[in-house]
Order: sequence, then C-alpha cells, then structure tokens
Amino acid sequence: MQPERWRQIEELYHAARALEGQERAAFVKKACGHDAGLQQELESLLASGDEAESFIETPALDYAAQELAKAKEAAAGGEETDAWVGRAVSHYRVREKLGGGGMGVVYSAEDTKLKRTVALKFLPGELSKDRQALERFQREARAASALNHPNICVIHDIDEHEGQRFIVMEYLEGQTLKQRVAGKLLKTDEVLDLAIQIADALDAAHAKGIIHRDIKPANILVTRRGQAKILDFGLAKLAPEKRGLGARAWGLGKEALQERPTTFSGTSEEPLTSPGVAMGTIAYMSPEQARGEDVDARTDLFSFGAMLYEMATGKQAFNGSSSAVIFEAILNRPPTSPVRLNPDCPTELERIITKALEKNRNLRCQSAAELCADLKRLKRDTDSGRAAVVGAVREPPLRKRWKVLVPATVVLVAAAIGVMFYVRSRQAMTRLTDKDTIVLSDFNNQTGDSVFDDTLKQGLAVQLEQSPFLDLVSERRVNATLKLMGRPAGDRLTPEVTQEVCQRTGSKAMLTGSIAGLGSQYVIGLKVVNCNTGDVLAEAQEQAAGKEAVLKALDAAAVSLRGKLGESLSSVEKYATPVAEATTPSLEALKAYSLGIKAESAKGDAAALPFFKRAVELDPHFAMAHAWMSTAYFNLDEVGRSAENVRKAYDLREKVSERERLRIEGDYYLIGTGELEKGAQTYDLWQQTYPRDSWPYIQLGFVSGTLGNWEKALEQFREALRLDPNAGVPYYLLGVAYMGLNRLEEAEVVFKRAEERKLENQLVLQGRYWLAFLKGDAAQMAQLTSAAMGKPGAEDLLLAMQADTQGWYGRLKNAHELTGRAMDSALHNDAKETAAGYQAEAALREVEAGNREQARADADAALKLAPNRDVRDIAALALARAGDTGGAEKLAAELDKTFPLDTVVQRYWLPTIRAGIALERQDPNRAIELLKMASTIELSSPTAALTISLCPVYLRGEAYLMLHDGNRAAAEFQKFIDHRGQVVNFPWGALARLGLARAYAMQGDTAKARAAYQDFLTIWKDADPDVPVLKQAKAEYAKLK
Amino acid sequence: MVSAPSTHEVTALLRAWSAGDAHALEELTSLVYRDLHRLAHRYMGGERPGHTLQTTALINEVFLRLLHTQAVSWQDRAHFFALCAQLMRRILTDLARARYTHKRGGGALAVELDSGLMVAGTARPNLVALDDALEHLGRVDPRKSRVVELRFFGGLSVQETAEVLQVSPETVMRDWRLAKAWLWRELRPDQDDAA
Repeated sequence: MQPERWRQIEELYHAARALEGQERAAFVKKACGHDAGLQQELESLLASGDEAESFIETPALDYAAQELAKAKEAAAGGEETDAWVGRAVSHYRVREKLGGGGMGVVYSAEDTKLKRTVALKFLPGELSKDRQALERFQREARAASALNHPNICVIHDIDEHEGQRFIVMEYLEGQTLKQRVAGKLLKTDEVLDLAIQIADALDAAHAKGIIHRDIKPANILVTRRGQAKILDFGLAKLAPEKRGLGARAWGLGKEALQERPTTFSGTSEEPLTSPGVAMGTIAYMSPEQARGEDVDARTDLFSFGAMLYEMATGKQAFNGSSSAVIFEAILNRPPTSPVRLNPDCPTELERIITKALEKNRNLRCQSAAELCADLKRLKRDTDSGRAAVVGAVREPPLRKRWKVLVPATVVLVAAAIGVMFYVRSRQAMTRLTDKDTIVLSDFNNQTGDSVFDDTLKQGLAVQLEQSPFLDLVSERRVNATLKLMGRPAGDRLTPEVTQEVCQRTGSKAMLTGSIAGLGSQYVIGLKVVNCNTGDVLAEAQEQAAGKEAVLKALDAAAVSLRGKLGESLSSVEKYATPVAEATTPSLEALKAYSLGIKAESAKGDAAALPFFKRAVELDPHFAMAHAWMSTAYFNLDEVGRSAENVRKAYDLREKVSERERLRIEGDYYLIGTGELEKGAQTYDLWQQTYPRDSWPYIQLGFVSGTLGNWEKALEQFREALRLDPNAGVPYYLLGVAYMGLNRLEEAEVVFKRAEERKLENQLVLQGRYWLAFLKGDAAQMAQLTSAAMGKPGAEDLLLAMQADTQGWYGRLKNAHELTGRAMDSALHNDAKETAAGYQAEAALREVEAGNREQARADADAALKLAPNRDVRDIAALALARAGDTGGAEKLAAELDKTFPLDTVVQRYWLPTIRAGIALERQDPNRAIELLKMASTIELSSPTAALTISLCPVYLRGEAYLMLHDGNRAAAEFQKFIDHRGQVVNFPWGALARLGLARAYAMQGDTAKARAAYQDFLTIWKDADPDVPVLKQAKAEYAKLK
Repeated sequence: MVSAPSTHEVTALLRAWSAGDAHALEELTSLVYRDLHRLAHRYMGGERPGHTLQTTALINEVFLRLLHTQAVSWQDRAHFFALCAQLMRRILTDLARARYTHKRGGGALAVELDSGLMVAGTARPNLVALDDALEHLGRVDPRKSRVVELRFFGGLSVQETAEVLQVSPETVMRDWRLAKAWLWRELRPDQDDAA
C-alpha cells in the first residue's frame, strides 16, 4: 500500500471514529467521494475497530499462561477440556465438547436410558461448592423448566458424578443471539419474531415469580428454525455473590419478586471489583442492578429492552471502554435514538424499546405481558403493511459464515456466558473482592508515645470491621497462625511477620499502618499491600492537628482506603460510624479495651476482665467495653454481672457502629431480658448483614440449644465453626449439641479437633470431661481435672464436675468437699456468682438423696452469696423439694416479677418450681398440669454452664408415682437413660434409675423392677452408707425379693 | 530454586541475544518460562484470571523491576523495554507454535478463536496468527507494529510505550486503536465478511 494512501486512511479513520451512526456513515461517504475501494477499506476498519474494544488489551503473557494452565489441567486429568469425551457419566455417554467458559463446559452426550441427545454442562468447581447456592439454583431451574414453555431451554436434570456437578439440558442446534447479531442489525420482522417469543417466555416465568436476572444476547439461543430459547434460568444465582443479604428470601414465588440483587449483576459493592464481571454482562444490567438494589421482574424487562435495542440497531444500548463508563451510561444516559441508528426501525418499536429502557422502574413498562402485547400489535401492523407491498422475502435463518466457522453448526449451548469469567475490568486486578481477606499488622508507632501502641490498630479494626465488604482475619486466627509459625500468641505483628501470616492464612493483602510525630502534629499512614506480590493496592495518609484529632484522622484515612479498595461509596457512607463515637473518645480507654480483646483471644475470659473493667472506669460510656465485659462474665457463669453490663451497653448503643449495635441488642435480649425469640431475630438480621461473622451463628445456636432444639443448634454451630475454626467456644458448643442428640462419637471427634488445635478453653475441658464420664474413664477424668488446676476459670469448673460425679455415685461427703473446693477456687477469682451456682447445684443433689436439712442450708447459703437468676432458679427448686414451700414460693414470685420476659425462667423454671411446691403439698395433678408448660423445652440446658437437666421430667415422674401410675412414671424416668448425652453426670440421672425401679414395681413387673433396683444399687455400690435414699432403696429391694 | 539473576546479567543476556547469541536466548527463555509457569499455576485450581496478580507485575519480576532499582539512563531504559518486548514476542510465539504443531500433528496454523467466548471483540488470540499479522502490519506501518509489540507482548503502559518510541502518548493511543482494528479485521472469525 502506498504510504500516502495509508496516511489518508488513518486520518479519515480517526475522524470517523469520533462520529456515530448515520453521521459517521455520511462522513465516510462524503470523504471517500467516488473512491469505492477507500470507502470499503475504511468501513471495514471502522466496523472491526468497534468490535476490537478489548482485543489484545491483556498482555500476551497472560494469554500464554492461560493456555498453559489449560494444557496442564488437561494433562493432570483435570475436569477441563476433553477429559470427559467418550466417558460414561451417570447414564450419559459424552460425545464431544461443544464449548466452554467460566460458567461451565458444555458437551453433547447421549442419554443411554432414553436414547436421546442431550447437552451436559459441567459446573466449574468454585461454582458447585456452595451447596445452598446450588440448591437455590436447582429449585429455580426446575421451576423454570416446569413451565414447559417452548421458548425456555429445558433442564432435564441436575446431577453429580464423582463430585462433579453437571446440568443435563435440552440439546439445541443454532446460535446465540449474540452471534446472530454480532454488530449488525436484524431486519425488523426478525426482531419482532424473536422478541415476541422471548417476551412470552419471560411473561410465563414472571407469572411464577421466577426472574432470570441475566437476560442478554448470549443467553438467548436461536435455533435453525428461528425459534428463540432462553438459556440458564436460575444460573445467575450460582455466580459468586455477596451471601447473606436476603439469603432467606431466595425462595420462589412472592419472595423472589422482592429479593436482593444477586450474583455478578448484584450489589453496588462489586461491579468494579468482581473478577467475574464482563463488559458483555454489565451492558445489559438494569439501573437497579447496577446500584445493587432489590431486583424484581422489571429488571428482566430492562435487560430485554437493551437486547431489543441491539437487535434493532446493531449497537449496544450502553457501551463504553470501561465498566465504570458503562455503569454511568446505564444509570444516567438515554441511549441514542434507535431510529437515528437505523432509519428502518419503526417508530413504534422505538417507543417500546424506550419504555423498556426507562431508568426508573416505576415508569418502565411494567410487565412482560404488556410488552408482548405491544410487540404483537406492531407485528400485526407491519405484517399487513408489508404484505401489501412486497412478498415476504426471508433470509435463510442461518448465516453462511457461521457454517464456515463452526463446521458442526452446533452451538455451545449457553457457553457464551462463560465470558464473564474471562473478561475483567482492569481495576479488578488491583482491588480486593469480597472473597479476599486482609491481615492487619501492628502500627509502626514512631511517636514514642505508648498510648498509640495497640489503640490505633483496634480503632482501625473497628472502622474496617463495619464494612460488609472487607473481611479482616480474626485475632484468633492470627494467633493460631502465629503458633504454627512457632511464635507466641499475641506476638508483635511486624510487617515481616504479618506478611507470613497473610500468606499462611491465604489472605490477599495486609494492611500496615504508621503514626509519626511532626512537630505538634501527627501523620497517619495506611497502606494495603498484596502479600504475595508486594504490590501496593491502596494507600492513604492523613494529618492530625493534635493528639485529640488522631482518631478522627484515622477515620478519614480508613474511609478513604475502603473506597480505594473497591467498596462502593454508598456502603462506605452507610457503615462508617467514626471510631471515637463507635468506641470512646479516650485514647487510654481504647487502649485498655484493645488489650482486653487481645487477652480474651489469647488467654481467655478471666484474663480479659481487668482490662475491660479499666476501660469502663476511664470512660463509663464505653458501650462496647461493657458488651465485652458482659460476654466474659457470661462465659464465666457470672450471669448477674453479665446482665448488668449488657444492660449498660444497651443504654449506650445509639452511637456504636451497625455491627456492634446488632451485637449489643442481641446479647441484651439473650442475657439482659432473656427474650430468646427477640434475640434470635436480631442475630438473624446480623447474619444477613454480615454473613461472614461467626458470632450470630453461635448465638442462634445457643438460643436453639436453650430451647432444646439440638438439631437446629447443631447446624448453626457447624457454620460458626466453619467461619472461625480457631475459637474454642464453638467446638464446645458443637460437641454439646451432638451430646444433646446422643451422638457421642461425633461429639468426641469435635472435642478431639479442639484438642488438636490446642484450644484449651475451660469449656472444652468440660466437654472432654463429660465424654470421659460417659465412657466411665475415671483416669481421664482425673487427668483433665489435674490439667485444670491453677487455671482461673477452669480449675473451679472441673472441681465442680468432679463433685457431680461423686454425687452420681452417691458419695455425698466427697461431693460436698469437692463443691467446697470448687467454690473456694471460684471465690479466689472473684467469681461469686459461679461459687453460688455450685452451691445451689449441691442443694439439688442433697435434696433428692434425702438430706433435706443440708439441701436447705446449701440453698440459703447460695442465695446469700450471690442471688443471680440461675442461683435463684435452682435454689427455689431445691427449697420446694426440701419442704420449704414458703421460701420457694417467695422466690418464684420474685423471679416472675424480675424476669417477666425471660423465656427460660417463664417456661422452664417457674413451672418446675411450682410443680415442686405442688408435690410437696401432695397435689400431683396440679404438678402435672404445671409441667405441661415446660414440656417443649424440658430437654434443654437451662443454665449457662452447670450440669443440670431434665428437672421437669424428674418431677413429672415423681408426680405419676404419687398417682400410682407406674406406666407413665416409667416413661418419664426412662428419658434420663435415653438422653444420657444430655444428662451426663447430673446426680438426678442415677436417682432416675431408682424412680424407674419404683415405677416397674408399681406396675407389678417384678423382673424389670429388680433389674432397675440392681442397676441403681450397682451405681451406688460405694455410696456413703448413711444416705437416706440408699437405705430406702435397699429396703424396697429386699421387700421385692 | 534458581536465584534470580542480577540486572546486569539480564541486561548482558539481552544484549548478547540482540547480537545474535543463541545461548543467551535459551537462558532468557528459561527465565520467562519460570514466570509463565508461575502465572499458569495461578490460573489453575480455580483461580480466575486477573484475580491474583497483575501480569505486568509478574513480567517485571525478572526484568523491569530489577531495572527500576538501578539508576539507568533513559536511553538504556527505552532500549531495555524494547528488547524485553521483542523477547517476549519471540518466546511466546515460539511456544504457541510448538503447542499448535504438537496438537495438530504439524498441521495448519489456522486462526483459532474460541467463538463461544467472544464478547465485543474479546477473544483469545492465536499468538502465531497474531505474530504473522503483526509482521504484515509492520510492512505497512512499522511504528504501529512496534506499538503492539511493546504494549501487548511487552506489557508496557501507554506512557512507557511513548517513552520508548519518543512520541506523545496520544500518538501511541491513536496507533494502538488503528492497529487493533486492523489486526482484528485480519484475525476475527468471519473472514468472509471482511474486505
């Protein structure tokens, strides 16, 4: 080519590129004059340039690496490429690969049972992992298939083969609408034909509450006979999404119409950052999807409008070189009028398109049915009009070039959506996604002022943790990782150490912070670095005029960082309570608080308490310090102090951040008022807002367990553990849930796991002790007890466990002595309530053994020591059983008045205490009536951590004995044996054997009675000889012979 | 693991290669392969492209980042960039050629574009075909061909490309756009529609 000619082409090319549509065409025509060759050259280059937008924009090395990765995976027998061809998968024989992409690889296959050809789509590993998402998808896909609509691709089955999920669907030949359009407009009658079919299918789906959410040309298949088929209904839900928001609303029907956005198309936080987002996908998003708002059926109508626009004009309605530009267009710009781009486009079609593309969905065309009717009317009119002029000359439905290109003329059903995983916005590379976690390093404090040491990191954590987008690696996990690195928990996190922690935890990035003095000023710097490559992902710097302004500057830096890391502005605005407000304006108090949290995760609750106390001394309005104090007390069985602190936190909750407010409110209901239902509602909300937090799962499980629903508790604890495998408490809780279900082996596995991780939390020790007891392993019990000696919080608990065990075997003197030691140990650590709890429990043990005097003395002493809720509950029951009905009644009235909303007090304890009083008054019928109230939660754990259970059951058994109803009495006592994982070493469990023996004797079943007596006497074979109940039992047994 | 060679070594290797030393190419190739395999490894096992790291950063790993740490004169820098891009083109194209030859039993090096994966001109180019087309473009307009070489094979930014070629960034962008249109026309699947 002549250089002059090339220069001419170049000049004209750039000039023409600045223009669009008809203007461009007119310009080219004019500029080329009669030079047809020039015009052709220019037009073909322009057309190609429009398509080449992202061509070779990614460096060659990247492509080469992808190729290599594919080859390697194929060689390694991976799921990719042609490994499936020729193989039998379930009852399908795979024939050939049709295509593939990020959302799956598609093969044609023969269904050997039904002898038909189907398409199999194998879901990539990362998509098929999330079981819940899969189930949702499955439901939706089935529902869409069930519509049996001719324009919806039928999904025959969703199956699994060797752990590989795949979808079996209708085998279709044709091409996607995307390929069909390919930058060229379609003739109006073809547009209408296809559009009517699609609108009709959407109408049918919407009528059933099913939304597609990802309508775009690549998801429409056009068969050779011109039939349109919508592909992948429901699949949009499988793509990576921010879990949680509306996780509950995922179902079908009404709910689905009002649900949160999904997937790649969802959430304002994601579009710029999600690696899965492709231009091709973004371009058809509705404004509400782009903004991350709720999505309803009208979102499909918008996407449909965008598609219709493209069919009618050959151009995308919203185009741009970056996703940000496309978003901007979707949100703010009306597209160029279709008629301007295609003079043949009927004005009525333009009206329909414009109405579908209305940005405000309330002004948009409201239903697919309406749209469909409009399109049909237009078709009728154009048909009759055209029929009058020319005969219907139709192009062959398949373009020639397609045949040339893909000889098989078989389309990769649905594979085109795979693109979204291949194309990416450039930002995605430098920003984080919501799947990434970050590790915080310690601040580099160059000021010499130690007040900044832990404070700034804590403040930063508070600020960053508000973000539903960012996921900080928890202190616990950091500590666990440090241990693996051979460093002590709580070791200083220098940048080097942090980098290793970051890599070991599979995190993407680490955040380092620094503070330096600059005259009277301070400079705060934050930096986020990719810990694998060392690339700086974001940086922020702020100055503070003085010490008081440091927290504010920290806030500003953190907020700016959040934006730079990819969090949406609206999210940053919504969740950005300033640190000083969320925590405390006192740096000293913040420091104490930070140290407390550190101590809690490294050394346990008892070690953390002094710091929290110091924090609230310095700032009595420090809400979160009160909340943490409440938790620590609760874990240490100090329920009264726990409740007091959570109430304080509740009163101060207005200023805290969103996440902290949820925590305070939830805990307030659980501990402060005992309103379990309300607490559960709060935690539900938390779960939805911050789905990666384990806390709400723990608390919801706790609620379920307290209500005796161990199945549900199990689920929640499992999830909590999955989210945070380095905390001790969830192991304990999960183990207890298994025990509650009598699944002792599984419980053992869980405790073993905790042990392997060296999570020597006092509660885990207790769990292991229980299992040792159930196995009759006295050596192990002794060993665990001696392991706990000298550990605050653990020592007293294990001594109390030993006391229970002695009580179980009838050795009451030993039990009494051990309870005394447990109490001393607790009192030594300022745990008065705990000590009182042990003493109250001792009263229950004594009273059923027949030592009524001792029981009364224990109960009174416990009440004197620390009359918290649990102590009063237990003591009242002991007093009732010991004959002090007056004292019991008074306590019951007090409890009723003090805890009017407390679920456990009202439904478990008050009925049981009052039944005890009724029994003492020889009124068994009244007792049975009262106990009905407790029947639904009688298998629960009614105290924070004591081994007390099945009290209502025991009393009901006694009542039936009193009524001489041996049958019913036996059924009650039998529950103690059936639920041994729940009863463990609670001494009433041994005595229930005696109850059972008496019940059998009453029935006249001497053989069974004898066996039960022997059973009891065997347990009590080394019991103190003078225990009244033992003497009675022996006498009864002798009489039976 | 072999320790990373120093800048001087790399620079010397590049110079030796540009002077026609086949052994130098071998050594450089093994350096690039190391990066390539590392990058490929990231793409495997469920990691999605672009998710884990910046490719450019990885290219820099061996070459450019080392260079930044030294006070290198402007001319050296430009020369160094240019050599790197040429080297990448050579190595990656050879690799692709070998792979296709192997796969197709030495048959055609036809354009292979995964049409199922195309959106708005996004495609995985066959590097062999691209190399040929680039050769062709170089005959019509050498600078545009170099822009593509530097940007696509060398992974350079517009600014860096402008530095190497001693033109303005605007000129680089204009060249880049037209070159992409031209190449895409050559390489896209529906050849029969093209002029």
